[in-house]
Amino acid sequence: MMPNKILTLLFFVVSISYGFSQDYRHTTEGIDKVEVIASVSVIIKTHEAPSLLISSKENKQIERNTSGLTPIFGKDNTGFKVFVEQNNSTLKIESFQPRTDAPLIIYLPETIKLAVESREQNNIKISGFTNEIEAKTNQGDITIQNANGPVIIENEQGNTYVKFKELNQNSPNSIVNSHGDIYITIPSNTKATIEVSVPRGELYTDLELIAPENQDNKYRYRRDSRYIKSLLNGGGVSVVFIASRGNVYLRI
Amino acid sequence: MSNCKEIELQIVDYIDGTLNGAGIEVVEQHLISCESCKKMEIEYRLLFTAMNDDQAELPSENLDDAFEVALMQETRNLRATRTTKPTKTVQIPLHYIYKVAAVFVLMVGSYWFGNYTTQREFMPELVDLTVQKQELKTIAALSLFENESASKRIQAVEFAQELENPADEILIALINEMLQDKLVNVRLASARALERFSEYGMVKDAYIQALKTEENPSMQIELIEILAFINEKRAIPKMKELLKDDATPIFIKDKLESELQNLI
Repeated sequence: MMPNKILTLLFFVVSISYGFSQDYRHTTEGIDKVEVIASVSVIIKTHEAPSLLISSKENKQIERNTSGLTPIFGKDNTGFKVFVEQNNSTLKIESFQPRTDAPLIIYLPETIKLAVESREQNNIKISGFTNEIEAKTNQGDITIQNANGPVIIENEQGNTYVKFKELNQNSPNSIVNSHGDIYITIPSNTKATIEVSVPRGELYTDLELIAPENQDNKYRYRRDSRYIKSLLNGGGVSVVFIASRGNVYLRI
Repeated sequence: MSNCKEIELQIVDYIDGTLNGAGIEVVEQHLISCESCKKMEIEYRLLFTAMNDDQAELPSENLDDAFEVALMQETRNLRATRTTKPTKTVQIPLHYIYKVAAVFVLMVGSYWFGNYTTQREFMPELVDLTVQKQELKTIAALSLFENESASKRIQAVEFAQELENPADEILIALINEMLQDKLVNVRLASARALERFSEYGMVKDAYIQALKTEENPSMQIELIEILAFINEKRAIPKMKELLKDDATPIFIKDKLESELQNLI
């Protein structure tokens, strides 16, 4: 009966390895917004499925010897030191991985609204989402690729990189960096009303930024010389870039 | 004392001079004691003045004189032409030219008169529309301030900023956003929006309060600039405290030093 023993052994090996390498999925049907809070760096990508995916191929799972035990300083219902909780139309994803762990990589549908916050000095990378994106970090860099807007970013120490695919005209955008630089790429035909403040830095651009003749914001012009408000392609949705200590690089 | 709503209904008649004696007295008494209604009255007067001044089509007072000069010149030219080339000149009778000129003046005058009359007729409707637009923006702003989306809250700030004479609830909402919003983007947009209303005591107090509690460097820079610009000396103690604080970034200390020199 040797072949049966081998088959049984193989079955257990496959079952165990499968049990310890399972992806986590949560449906996004009925979900409007996803909030992500993490201490590690966060990478968020799009996929076709209507679900949240935390893949075991790209994320470190909890150790085997924690099976049956409960973490005291964090919560986990995914097997990745990540706690996922749905509250009406909002899905909250909270990572309890230590700051030095590998990045948390997750997949979501491209139409989901995102609000991402890195608690520590880590990076946030988001690409391909067509809806509103909010991102906040203290010391890391924030990179957003192929954004449609609106984009709201608060970055205290790091740099911010945003490449707009187009600019939603319905809702304003704002990027505020306290210390780092802001790098923006925007399509040349974008209609926007752009305000830039660089009190301690410089604005570098290949766009023709012309201040409109009838300035409606007399106060700021009177007190801040390193500020410009300009109508791009006749003006459009409001876009504010503030780099309090750094530079703004604005290019087509 | 009359309330502001009643005064608001009468203010157009008051400015237009169609209010009766008792009504005038009531409005004037109220305007002495109510800062916001006084501001509204000034804005209405400005609006009316702007509308009355908008008479680009009005013919110039010198038009007749200029026309006479042009006519004389044309007559001389005709004579000169007739002298040099008598066989090709078409002689236009002078009385015919006067008739054409009279028709031209009549047309311009009629257009101007019609335009002026229309403006007079539609003035109350225009004022109503302005008021309605203001009310709509107020409602839109107040509802968006509660929105979960930071972008929508910034949109609320933009709506509020466009209001000429914002209600107290708008100013309070802006102040709350400046002091409490979780994202610096919204706090900063609110601080900038409130600058238009920095003559209000509650706004000045809010700026000082914000400087005491704010920790984000971008917001601190903005508040220091605004407080120095509006010459708010009550901010000096907190600014000095920040200057001494080791945790304050160097570039903010630089800003504090330069603005304190202007304030003290």
